Amino acid sequence: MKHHRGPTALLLLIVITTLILLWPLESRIEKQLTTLHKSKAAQADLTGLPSIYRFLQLAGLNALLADVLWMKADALFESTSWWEMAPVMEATVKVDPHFTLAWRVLAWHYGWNMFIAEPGRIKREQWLQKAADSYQEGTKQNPKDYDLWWDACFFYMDKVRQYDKAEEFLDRAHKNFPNRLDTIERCRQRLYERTWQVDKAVAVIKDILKKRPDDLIAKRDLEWWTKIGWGTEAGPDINWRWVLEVKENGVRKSRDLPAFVNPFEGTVVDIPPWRDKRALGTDYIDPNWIPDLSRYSLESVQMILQSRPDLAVMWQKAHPEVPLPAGILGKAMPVHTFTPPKTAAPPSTGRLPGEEMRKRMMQRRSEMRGRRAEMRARRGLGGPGRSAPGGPKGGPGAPAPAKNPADGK
Amino acid sequence: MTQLIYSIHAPMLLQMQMAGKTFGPMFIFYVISAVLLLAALFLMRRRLIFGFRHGIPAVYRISGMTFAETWRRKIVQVIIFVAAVMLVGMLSITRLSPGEPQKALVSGGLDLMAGMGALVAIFICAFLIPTDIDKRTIYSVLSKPVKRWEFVLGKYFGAMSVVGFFVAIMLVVQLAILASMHYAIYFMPLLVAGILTYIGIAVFAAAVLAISTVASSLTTVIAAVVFWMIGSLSELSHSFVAGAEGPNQAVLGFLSAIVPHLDKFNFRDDVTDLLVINPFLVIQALLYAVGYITVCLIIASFLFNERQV
Repeated sequence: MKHHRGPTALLLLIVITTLILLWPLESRIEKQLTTLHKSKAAQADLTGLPSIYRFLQLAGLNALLADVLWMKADALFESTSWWEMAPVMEATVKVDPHFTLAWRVLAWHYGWNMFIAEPGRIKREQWLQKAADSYQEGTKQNPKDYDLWWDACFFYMDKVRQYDKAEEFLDRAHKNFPNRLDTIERCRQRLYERTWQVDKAVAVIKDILKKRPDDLIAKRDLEWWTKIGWGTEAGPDINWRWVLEVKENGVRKSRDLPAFVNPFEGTVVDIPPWRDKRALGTDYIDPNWIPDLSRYSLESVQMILQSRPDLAVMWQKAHPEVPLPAGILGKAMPVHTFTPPKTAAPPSTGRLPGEEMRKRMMQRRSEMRGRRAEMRARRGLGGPGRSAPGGPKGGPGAPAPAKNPADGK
Repeated sequence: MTQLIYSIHAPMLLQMQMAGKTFGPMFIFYVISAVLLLAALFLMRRRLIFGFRHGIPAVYRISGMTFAETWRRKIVQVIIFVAAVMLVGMLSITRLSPGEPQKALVSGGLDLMAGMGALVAIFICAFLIPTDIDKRTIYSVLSKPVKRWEFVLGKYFGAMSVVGFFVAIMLVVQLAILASMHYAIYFMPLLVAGILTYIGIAVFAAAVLAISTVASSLTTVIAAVVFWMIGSLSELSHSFVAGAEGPNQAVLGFLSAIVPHLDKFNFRDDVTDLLVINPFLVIQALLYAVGYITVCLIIASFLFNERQV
């Protein structure tokens, strides 16, 4: 065989120069792919799982690995192995960050299931923090998924009641999904009402009516606000946060729920006059509570005066020129039935305060126990409380969790 | 070396800096490489033109023969059948993804196509040339006026036509399933992603073929599986290279550079989310594929040329 050194050398040169030129091209493509495709499949922890998972991970078959991990997580949920389920779902979302259902179930699992199942009070907060971190990361990876955004808003609004975070999420959700009137827009309205940003709440109501002019709920709410004085001359003087707190607590009392206290009190929001050491929390109808409401406008304290004719008399003496609405004076004093908690709300720091949260949880537990004992006594049942059979592994008597976040707590 | 480059090209660097941009010594290195490549191609132009004219009919005949032989092999038919059945079986996974079953189907189907396609490529390419040498059937081909590089290219394109057939079957099955679920919107993106997956398998197969020209079938299979795993986990290999120091980094960097990175052809995420696939990225990936396949086939031809059969 003839050896042609010339062509061989040229071919070798072609090979070497092509490899050299492929090097920067390969790096360039790699950089673009790293920003586009955010999967961290190599970092997924598959400890304790069969070797077929590791094989799929090494082979780079991320979609198949995510599906198989999801099947594993489903099997673990069905067998109520909640603690084992969490790392499997963490691996699933690492392998496929766009698997939105996995993100939703993971965050829900942390925030509701693990929270309930955890016996230790301190660790419960950690599960809530993990749920919050999961929602943050999930919405960052999937900014266009409505269900995930809505779950995150529901979590901050309803579960942890972290209204600053809820407002941040709801505002971003509103930008991404401006036409979700029944969920996001109404939630925004409720949030602004709860945090006493009445102007913003009314703006949201008007926005809903612009998009859906025959919306009965929005019409009713706007009518209520207009009736109570929003938009009138007295509007700026009205202390809306107190009006709303009284309104909210009226609803909660009828549902036998604990009183609402604004977490920003003392920091962003003034402390209302009834939040003093002598007052029993927010029980406005307690006859032992006699605050001086004479400095406040009628609209701010009207709802309190409606349930406290004695305070109405005192207020009228201080403001004889202002006529009270009909029916306030001359009413009988209502019977005191509700004992609210004594603790004041701590200021919000963006994270859940450990000590205050623990105290609140202990108080709520003792209240719940007292109510259960009352109910048992009424029904004629005796003996100490027993745990319900068939509860989850970590928490005897804990309620069975719902897998779908939209099903409620 | 860096100082030498700087001293020779300082005026040019200065000019480039004055233009508002600064180009480092590596850029000069790449420019020199490109110039050398063009010069080599220019010097070999007559041989290349002659080779194309003479070689294309031979390559075509050998590839047709390879396709016919390979298609008849039971292992290939079994793999294709199993892959199609697995694809249909993926419908059962969709019950675990309520609200987005089409994403599970599309992403899982593409992964299955890539995985099984690589498996088919390994089983075909690893056994092509070594089997012909073992069974002595290669002599009947090489005794004719067929050059060794024509033989290698013919085998490669024959193998790729079988893999292309496999990918086409998988695509048809997947599209049929999506059509039955009324998800026709995924057709075009899936087709583009399927073609890119095929090109990725072609890159991988070229590397496997190059190894098979000098190694036995078993050695080729083992090396191919290792290449596949290193190439699939490019983020891991890049972090290893970045973490190494000194000569280790050079060695690992070199190994990382020669192993084909198959994630460049993986656009699964874009297809499942119905995002527009970046055409610039696709062009770069195609350039990479053409360059890598060319290098592998040249190396394969050279090694086979030197081999005593």
